[in-house]
Amino acid sequence: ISSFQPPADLHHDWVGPPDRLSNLRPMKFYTPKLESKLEQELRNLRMDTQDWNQNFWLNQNITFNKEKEKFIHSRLKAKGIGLRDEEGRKNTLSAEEMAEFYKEFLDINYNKHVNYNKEWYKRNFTITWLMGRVVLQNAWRKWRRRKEVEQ
Amino acid sequence: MSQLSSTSSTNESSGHCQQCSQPDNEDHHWSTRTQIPGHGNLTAAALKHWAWLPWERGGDQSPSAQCGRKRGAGSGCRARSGSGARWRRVVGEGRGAGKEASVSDTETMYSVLCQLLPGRLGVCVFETLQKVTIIKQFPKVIVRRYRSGSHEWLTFEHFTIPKCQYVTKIDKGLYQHAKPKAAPSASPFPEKQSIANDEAVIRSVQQIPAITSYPSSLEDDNMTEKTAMADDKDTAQGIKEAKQWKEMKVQLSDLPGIYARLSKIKLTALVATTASAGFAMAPVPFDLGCFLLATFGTGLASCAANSINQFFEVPFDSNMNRTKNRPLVRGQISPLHAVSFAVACSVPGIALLTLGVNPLTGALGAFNIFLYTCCYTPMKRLSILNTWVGSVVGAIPPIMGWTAATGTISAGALLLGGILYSWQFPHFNALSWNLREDYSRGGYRMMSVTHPLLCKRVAFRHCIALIGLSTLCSVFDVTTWTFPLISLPINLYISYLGYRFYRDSNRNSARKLFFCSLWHLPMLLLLMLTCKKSLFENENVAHHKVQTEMQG
Repeated sequence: ISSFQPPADLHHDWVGPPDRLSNLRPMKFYTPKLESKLEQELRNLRMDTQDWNQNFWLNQNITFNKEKEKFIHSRLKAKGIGLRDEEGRKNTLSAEEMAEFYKEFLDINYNKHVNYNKEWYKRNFTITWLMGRVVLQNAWRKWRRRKEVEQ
Repeated sequence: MSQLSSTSSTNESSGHCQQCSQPDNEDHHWSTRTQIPGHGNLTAAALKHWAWLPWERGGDQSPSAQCGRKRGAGSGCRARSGSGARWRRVVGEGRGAGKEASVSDTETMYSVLCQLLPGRLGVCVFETLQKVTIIKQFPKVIVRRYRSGSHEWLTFEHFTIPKCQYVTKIDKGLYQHAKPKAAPSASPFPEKQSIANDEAVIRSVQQIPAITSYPSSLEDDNMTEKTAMADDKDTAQGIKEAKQWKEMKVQLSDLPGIYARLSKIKLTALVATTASAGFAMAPVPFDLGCFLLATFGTGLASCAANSINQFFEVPFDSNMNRTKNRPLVRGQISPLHAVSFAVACSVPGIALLTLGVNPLTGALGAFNIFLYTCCYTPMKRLSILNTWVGSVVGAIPPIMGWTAATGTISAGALLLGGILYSWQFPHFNALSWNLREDYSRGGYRMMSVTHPLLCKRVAFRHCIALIGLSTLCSVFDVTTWTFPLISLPINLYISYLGYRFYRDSNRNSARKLFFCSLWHLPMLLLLMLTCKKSLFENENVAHHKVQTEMQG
């Protein structure tokens, strides 16, 4: 979404400010010139996970806020109070009343959360595992190159 | 310099000081010292480093001679810095300030001591008469030294350049633009202006070659910047956003801070303290080496566990206010780095405990790490039982301390663990009470969200239990009978707050309970230590020995 382009001469990933809606920080991944298959796989997985995460949380936060508003409206209506008070400020419910909504939200979305959890753990492990492999691969390459130079 | 002279002569009859345009009257005098806000007095030595304009012999032609001539004494005026603070000029009348700072007649400007005072004054120094260095802070001060006959003056000219100079650094390039201003103030130099304004004091310097080169460049700058900004609001937006992007390169100097946050160092310290309390309470002679190993090993294990916890919870932490500044969330280090750190802490930690203390302690430590990372952390999103699991996690460190000392788990160890277990509930339930919205949105299943009544009841119940457990301590000879008595006040207090939380269940009572729990635990442990019961024959001697060892 962001149009930011990191400078071409620097060789690291870049992390940006948190997204307004999903609260996740976008990352731009560095593509080295001689990217190995492993590195490409890692980068693709990270980009894919980033998009997937972004989608989930965007959805989650928007849904949460929408449902919350709906809940507040319906409760206020049931009580017979308008949406805004005399001074034009929004009317809010007490913490106890809101707690009902929070519980409801958690229960309704239980399965969704469980599935997200499983998927996230899987991806996280895979990414970290690949990162480890890439580091080892790079170390190996460097060592081999140094050997060649010596010879 | 002749130009200066000519200027001065034209205004000779104005009755105003040509330098500062203030009426040249009795008040118009120099003081002996220069004060620059925030830096106290400039000594003569400091003045030595200020650059000078060359002047010519033959004082009549020097500009300030015009000021001074009227009274034969130095004259000058007050200037105000942009902040509104006053400072006065220096007199050079051989009264100290001028003497050491003497410069030869023909000496041209030499090096600069650019004193950048934070946000307020900047000292601008000339390299040559032809060049004016402008520094990015404002205002700029130009120092001149004049001599007329036997009198010497230093003048400080205080310029205020466009008030706000924004310097932005994007991708190692520096961009500077001035806030667009109305045309007259954009180029203060060619015209003589006197602005009776508290905020800005602009001085004019006419027809000095050096200065004329500057206003044109400043004007150019302003013009280009104005057009650039007028044309391209998006760029400004883009620049603003670009500033917030950071390269994911770890700076070594940042690492300690990052590791501290990754390992939740304060929590770790508390955990290590409970372990050391468990060690100290064990009814055996105090062994300092073992004590240190046990404490340190437990601390390392705790660091590792906390790091793994953060590794697992990155997207959830981003969405909660309390946790959104954690290192992994901010991208300061990579997940691999965090895992490596965890491994680097846990392996030595557990090894230290197993080999340096005893295998039982090591096993408990490893089990605790597993319980926290693989049971508690995932369970947070699955079931409210996570709180009970978490309480066990908190209860194990004192047991570890005890086993480190004695090598076995006895009633005393379990009792100590029990106290920590009970303590977790008022602590955590109160904390989670005010985070219900965040927990709900993040998908965490906590008692406070799904079963609020249960949450309150449990918290209160366990506050009361603390009183019971403290009493049991003396029953099992862990402590003397004084302990239940002296701990009663704080236990009653936390129970009272627990009751208020149970009854009122609002934000305030939850906060109170949480903060009370933070000091209640260390206090309780301390009291316990002082009431420790010694099991040696020569009770008094041994007791004293243990006490002094602990204090030492």
